[in-house]
Amino acid sequence: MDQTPTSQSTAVDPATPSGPEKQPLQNAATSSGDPPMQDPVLLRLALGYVYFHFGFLKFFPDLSPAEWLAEQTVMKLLHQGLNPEHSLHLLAVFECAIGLGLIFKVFPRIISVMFFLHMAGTYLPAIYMPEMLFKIAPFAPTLEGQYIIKNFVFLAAGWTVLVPHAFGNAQRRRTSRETSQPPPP
Amino acid sequence: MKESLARLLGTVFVIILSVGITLTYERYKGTGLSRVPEKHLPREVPPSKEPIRSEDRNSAAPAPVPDPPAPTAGPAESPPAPASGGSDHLEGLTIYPMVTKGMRTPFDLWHYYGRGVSSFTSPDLPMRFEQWLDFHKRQKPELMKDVTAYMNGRYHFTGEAIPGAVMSGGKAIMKGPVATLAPGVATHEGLAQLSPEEIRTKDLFPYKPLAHPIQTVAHMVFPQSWIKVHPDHERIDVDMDIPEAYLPEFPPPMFLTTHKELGDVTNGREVTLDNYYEIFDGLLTPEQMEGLKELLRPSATTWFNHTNHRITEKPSKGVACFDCHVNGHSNGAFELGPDSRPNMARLRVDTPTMRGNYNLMQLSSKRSIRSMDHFAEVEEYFDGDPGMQQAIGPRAVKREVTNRMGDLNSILDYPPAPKLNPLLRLIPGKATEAELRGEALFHGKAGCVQCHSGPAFVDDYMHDLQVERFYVGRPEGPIKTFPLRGIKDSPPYLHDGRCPTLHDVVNFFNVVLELKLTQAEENDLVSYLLCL
Ligand code: HEC
Ligand code: HEC
Repeated sequence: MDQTPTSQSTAVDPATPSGPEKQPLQNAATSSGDPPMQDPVLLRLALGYVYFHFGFLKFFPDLSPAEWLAEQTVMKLLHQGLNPEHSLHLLAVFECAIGLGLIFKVFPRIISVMFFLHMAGTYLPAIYMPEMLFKIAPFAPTLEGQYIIKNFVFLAAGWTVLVPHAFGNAQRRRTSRETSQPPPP
Repeated sequence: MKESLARLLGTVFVIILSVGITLTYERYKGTGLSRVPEKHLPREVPPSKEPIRSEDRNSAAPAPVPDPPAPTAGPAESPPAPASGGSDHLEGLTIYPMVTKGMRTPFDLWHYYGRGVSSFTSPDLPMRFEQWLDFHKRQKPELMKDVTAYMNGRYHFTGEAIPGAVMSGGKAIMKGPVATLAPGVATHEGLAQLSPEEIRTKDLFPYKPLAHPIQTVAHMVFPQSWIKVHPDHERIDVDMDIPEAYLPEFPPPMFLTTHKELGDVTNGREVTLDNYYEIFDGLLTPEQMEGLKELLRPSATTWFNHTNHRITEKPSKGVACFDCHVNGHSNGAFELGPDSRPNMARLRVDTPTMRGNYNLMQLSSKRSIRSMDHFAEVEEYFDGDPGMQQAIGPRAVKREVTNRMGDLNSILDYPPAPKLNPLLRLIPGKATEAELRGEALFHGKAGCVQCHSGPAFVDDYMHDLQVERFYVGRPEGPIKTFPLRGIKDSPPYLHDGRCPTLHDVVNFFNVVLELKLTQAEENDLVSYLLCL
């Protein structure tokens, strides 16, 4: 549904006006005769959903299985400057914002920055409390460790979904913004 | 068009998800899975007013008739925030953080409440033992840095002593009050002039509870002076947080009711398994000797034992009663009272003396234990969780043995108080003016004698001092009155040691009992307490 040429900033469809610009990698793909890359809609929505769901859980004590990990990490990051509940809520706001940003495809730059900060944050427990993440570091993770290692997939997904959208060249972005204004309902 | 449809679907999806999670949480609360106690649920409806309202609804007019008694009882003291009883005490509190063994806990645990995941603990660590050591090697320096900063924020530990005042064995007694006042309160005397509401709403109370620095492990923390002699009790995770000068002397003298003529029977030594026989043979009965030996014999505890579930680097032989109650007194070691769950709700307790316990009808701050024999059986070696004994090894003290421990306990005497007569009043010829004024205040304006009377200066009741009137926090509930005979030897004061000096306790009671004593009067009371 999202694949109108106007709204896709990552896809390289030779038919779109933004197509023939300098995007070496993607141009290469097209010119080699491979099928054109699609806007990864499902990936974006899946990522957005997971962010929003797991983020929203953190507003409720007990519901998030990552609660202790998240609280301890944020508290440690802020030098115990926030109490556990507020730490968790801070993270909840952050994750929900990223989730909504992805689902609704808004504020790509801000969301990208938040996303990469958040991703960096998820790896902090490996520095702060490696014992909780590895039975024997670095190749035998605990469940929590596995949960964090799995974030490499998130990182890659975020890269694919967000980077071209947020940091593609200026003209393309302008074009896509102008044309993607939804008509008034 | 497609774009707006996508947005609409996205919005619907987000709403379904949010509402779904919120409704799920409503079902989750109060179940065994949740840390939020069921009490949390009906909070919005003040329970006291409920019946009246339903009456209102049922019958149209007659409400005014049953009502009057309430208003007359009410307005006399207008209800301050926490005083209305019931679940109002939850106001301003947040749920305990989710933590596992070894993790740090907030120092202001009085702001938290909630249920534990379980009443029972397990003998397992959340990681391999080598990792456990690494974890604490990294965490301990940071933790101790924060603990020190926190304690120095709460107290000005100046190390200034009261001129000429010493404990029974000669250690200097520290001067106070050392509790740090909030900005805007100039003096401790000034603090006592303020109303509970003002102190509470402006957050001015300097005597809030002390938590154990690492309440997920908690357990016994010994002073450094004692660790120096018993290095096997050094913990990998935490050290004592109160400076040595503000703790009891080590080793303290030991006095026996049966040998008053000898004074300190130990001659300045710490009684141990190695020397007790030599010191006491020919002075004690065989039963008392056996009791003493048992008080000196280490037993495995939750965290001091030979398994991996420990907080010492090497396996530990365990802990003996006299490791904390050194020479039948106290070295200021603290732990958590084993009387509640979750562990974060347990109150920090510092070791009370065993001197003069023969006069006490109630033992321990909250458990109201009625005999020393019983106490020797239940001592908090397993943090109130006998299930742990299965894994770690029981203390294996049979009734006959604990009786004998009680036999020895009951001859541990108070230190001498040469200024008191047999009725425990000051002898005017021996006492100073200040001490006599203090005694008059104790029995008069300050009203201390209401709870601190008789030969041990104790009433053997538990009192709810309602200290939560002065700060936003979980109420601590009734605590037993501690005896004041020999009190100069037992800093820090109150069950958790939140008052490092006698000046601090006197100021505490001045505030909490709203006595409006002057600084001079507080000092006189301290002079008096030093004589007991
Ligand atoms: C942490 C070191 C520690 C050890 C070891 C220890 N105690 Fe205690 N003891 C305490 C603390 C702390 C309290 C206060 C407990 C409370 O308030 O609930 C206490 C309280 C007591 C009391 C009551 C005193 C009073 O004034 O209420 C008695 C009696 C007692 N202990 C006896 C023993 C015996 C007997 C043993 C050995 C089986 C023992 N203790 C081992 C720390 C210790
Ligand atoms: C309503 C009864 C009550 C009155 C009146 C009272 N106390 Fe206490 N006192 C207690 C209780 C209860 C405790 C233990 C509180 C705690 O540990 O939290 C205590 C503890 C103490 C302690 C610390 C004992 C220890 O071993 O740590 C001292 C010192 C003390 N009181 C002195 C005084 C003085 C001085 C006064 C008069 C100004 C006074 N008390 C009035 C009930 C009372």
